[in-house]
Amino acid sequence: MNSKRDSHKTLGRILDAATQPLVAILISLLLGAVVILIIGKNPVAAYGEMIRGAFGKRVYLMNTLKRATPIIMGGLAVCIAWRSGYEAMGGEGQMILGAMAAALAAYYLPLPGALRILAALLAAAVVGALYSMLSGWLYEKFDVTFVISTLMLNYIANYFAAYLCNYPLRDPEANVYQMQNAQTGKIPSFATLPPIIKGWVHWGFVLALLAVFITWFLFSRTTFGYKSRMGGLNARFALYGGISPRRMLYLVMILSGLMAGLGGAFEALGSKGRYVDQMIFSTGYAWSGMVAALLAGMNPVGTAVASILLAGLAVGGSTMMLNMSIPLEVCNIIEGIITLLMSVKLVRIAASNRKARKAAKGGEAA
Amino acid sequence: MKKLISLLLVLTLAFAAAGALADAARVAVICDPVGVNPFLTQVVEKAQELQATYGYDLRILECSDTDKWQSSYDAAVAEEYDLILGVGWQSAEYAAAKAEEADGIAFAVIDTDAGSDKVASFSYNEEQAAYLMGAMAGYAFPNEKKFGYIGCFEGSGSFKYRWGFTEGLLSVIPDAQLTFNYTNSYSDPNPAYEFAKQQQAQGCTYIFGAAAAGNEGIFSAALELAQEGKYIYSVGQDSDMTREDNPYIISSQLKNTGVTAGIILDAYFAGTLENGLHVLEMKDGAIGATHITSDGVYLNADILTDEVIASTKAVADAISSGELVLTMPQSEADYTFPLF
Repeated sequence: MNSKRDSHKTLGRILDAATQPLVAILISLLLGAVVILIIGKNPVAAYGEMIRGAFGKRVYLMNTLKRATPIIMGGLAVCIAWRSGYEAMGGEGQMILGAMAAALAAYYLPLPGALRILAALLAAAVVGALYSMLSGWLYEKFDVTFVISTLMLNYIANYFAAYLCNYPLRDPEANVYQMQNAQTGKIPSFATLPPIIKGWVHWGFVLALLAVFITWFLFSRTTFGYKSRMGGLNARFALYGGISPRRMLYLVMILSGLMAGLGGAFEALGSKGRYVDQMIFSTGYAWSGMVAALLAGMNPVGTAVASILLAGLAVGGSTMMLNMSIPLEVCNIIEGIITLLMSVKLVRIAASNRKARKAAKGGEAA
Repeated sequence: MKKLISLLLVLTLAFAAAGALADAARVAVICDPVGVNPFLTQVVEKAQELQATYGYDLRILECSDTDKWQSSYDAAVAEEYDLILGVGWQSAEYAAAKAEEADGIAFAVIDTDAGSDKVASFSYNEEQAAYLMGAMAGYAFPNEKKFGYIGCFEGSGSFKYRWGFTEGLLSVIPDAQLTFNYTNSYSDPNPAYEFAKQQQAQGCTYIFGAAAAGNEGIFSAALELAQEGKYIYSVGQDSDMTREDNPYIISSQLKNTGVTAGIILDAYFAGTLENGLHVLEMKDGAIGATHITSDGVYLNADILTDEVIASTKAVADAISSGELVLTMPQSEADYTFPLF
């Protein structure tokens, strides 16, 4: 009797969690259809092209998975931080610096193939983690809100990387007619992340799936999830329970930054083969990752699925534009509407975190 | 019988037309979002114009981020377009990679070098036009010492323009000094507007407008400042931007990407499109200056006097004939701008 009730509860929870994203996607697609109709095209045919362009051919599917890779990692970074009660939005900056670190290590380090790839991934992870720790430190020492510090650090990272690839670390092999190419040197092919099989997505995607599993395991099968949440929401209570909130804060920030940094590395080593100016900023991978995480209710597995969906929207848009002459902006509108609809949830999560912290502070004062 | 023959004729013509449509070449243009940026609008307009001549199916793929360049190239190749024309430096790498694996598809890129013998790359010696603009500024404002520059992005990509303009200016006013500002956009006029007002306050009468579509901000500032009795003059970029309602736009630095698109499309349909790097210069008509190498919509003869035009034309002739050879430093680190 009890097990039947439990399974009903579980099903209810799943349905509950799935309802909002599904409704959001449905409404977004309907609103997108209105936009498509306004520009005089057939929405059914357009969406057909979009789906075909995202998943219909191997090359399209691989592009979707390739684009999904950094989004998944950005989403995991958000999952880790937000589930622990820290509303950090610094995935973009960490991803940028991770991509730059990986690109430079893979280009300049005098190491043989696999070792160079490992060194590049390590560099990206360390740089991402350190940059993330910086916002943790600002929060701990000066009570700087995560939203402000991480957003500002994103800009700093982007301009710093832009400076590096425009000036001191610009592609040394570029000729005078390639002077507009704001990018670092081309990584030799032996130091890039190879495709799983020829013509398939690179190994970064597999590593991203591994990261999904690790994150899920950490939060679902270890005490880390509980400890980190306690540390983030109620430092006093955590301390009372023998958990060091300071340690948890830095651990969470390190893990979150590491994921984002690796996401940048996968993009630089697996997709671009170098650091290209704005490659993370203009694509909005980290923000798409945040949308994916919100869509999935901060569930790592759901985040991966949502990331693939969002990547498909973007990649399918190219084929839709090519064969239906529909502007890519329509695709961006749909993604924008999803973000907007999800922001209701974002506000709810942020509000509940704030409420929990306030209650904890109230308890401390009493 | 007549009806039957007529019907057969109509059917034959209809099938022939359908066949011709099905056989029509397919051309994909891959670029940044087009908007009002003349660097891109010129290409799109030219490609649309030549559709009437060659009857090809034209699709424009606008890439709103760096990753979409790759997916757009993949899509155009997967859909077996006949000619894929990339505009902008981002196209170089993807065109070169795709050309290696896609036989039977022609690849061309504008404003970059794909570095591949399977891609027709069309680039420019823009420093020639920038030098001309610098010389023109010197001749038009011989008593000025402070000159402004508002560009899109600071970095290696704009070095050609900055170096060319500075050298042209110094060739006429050796002790001229400059100040540089950047909009960080190809289309945002707002920062250009603010920078123009600041540079005027710093003592600049002439501001080199190298902010692409963002130059509109400089032009608006010029009109507004004129009402206060403060005058600044500027130039357009890429296409002729002179117009009667704004006498403060005295010329334009031309980079005619439309001419380049025409060269590529004509060559492709004539079967003479050659792969490798093609560098277009002033003598090819692809770069130049309004009122010097080509006519403009409006001439402010008070500023661009006959003497100024004649002196600047002499510089243009020297560049075109090869009498004046501009040798740019390989890197910005090897050059010092005279700043104020």
